[in-house]
Amino acid sequence: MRRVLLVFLGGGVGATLRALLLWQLAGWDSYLPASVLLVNLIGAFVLGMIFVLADEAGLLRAGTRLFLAVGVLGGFTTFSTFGWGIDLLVGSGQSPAALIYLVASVVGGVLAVALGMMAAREAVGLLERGALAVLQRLNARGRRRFGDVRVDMASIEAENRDGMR
Amino acid sequence: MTPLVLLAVFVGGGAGASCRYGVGRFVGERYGGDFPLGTYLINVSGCFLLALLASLLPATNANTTWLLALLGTGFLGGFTTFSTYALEGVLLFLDGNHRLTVLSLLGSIAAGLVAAAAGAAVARLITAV
Repeated sequence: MRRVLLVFLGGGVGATLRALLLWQLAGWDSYLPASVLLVNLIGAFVLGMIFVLADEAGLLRAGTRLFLAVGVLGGFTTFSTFGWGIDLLVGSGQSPAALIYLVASVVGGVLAVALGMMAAREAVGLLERGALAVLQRLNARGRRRFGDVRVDMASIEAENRDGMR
Repeated sequence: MTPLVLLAVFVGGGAGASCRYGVGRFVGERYGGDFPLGTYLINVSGCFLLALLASLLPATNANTTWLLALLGTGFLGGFTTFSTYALEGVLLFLDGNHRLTVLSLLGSIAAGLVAAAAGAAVARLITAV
């Protein structure tokens, strides 16, 4: 039930953001629905990022991932407006615009996901290098202050096991 | 865009996303294949329903603006998804499953266009009666 509520709230937020953006960008749509195209490409890029952050790097909790991926981005992007929009263009004799819209959506969507994944991997790498640099500095500072301390790994691991139970 | 219309979009979008989550899990529990069947069925049926709805409720009618916002922009916009469709296509490609990549990316659109045309045709039948 908590999971359905997360998806509901995320979907509501995403759909509202989409409505506001489409309303703001309505002036772009004289040749083809460029506003819908932009919304879908932004959503595909961000979902590519979230996939890497959650499923590859393990940085997002399951509830956060559900809220963002299934809720917000699922609600923000839309396939029905896209499909119906192509039919409308074809029906009004604007087949070239329909074809451009279709190809830009599919090729652009795939590229946007791939770019989002690459950007997130880059960001995770930066975070990891930053964290490592901080730990190394702290380690060097500790050695200066306390000298070489012999660490009993066996007892630390035993403590960790107890803590996880 | 009035606050009432935005509220209708929010509620419709939340309900649509929840239905997508439910349908996705229902299909996922019964279909074990690699093809993203849940997203496919959701997107194709959403195209049919949006074409039907938009043909029956013209956007120019101010009295039905909130209904179109609730059911069209909200529910069907939130029910169908482009981001998951694109992500699943990329993941199939990265898995080396090129046949299913093409089937998912192009098959969804082909079926969605036919479904939308069918929705508009059904709307014409209804208004002709």
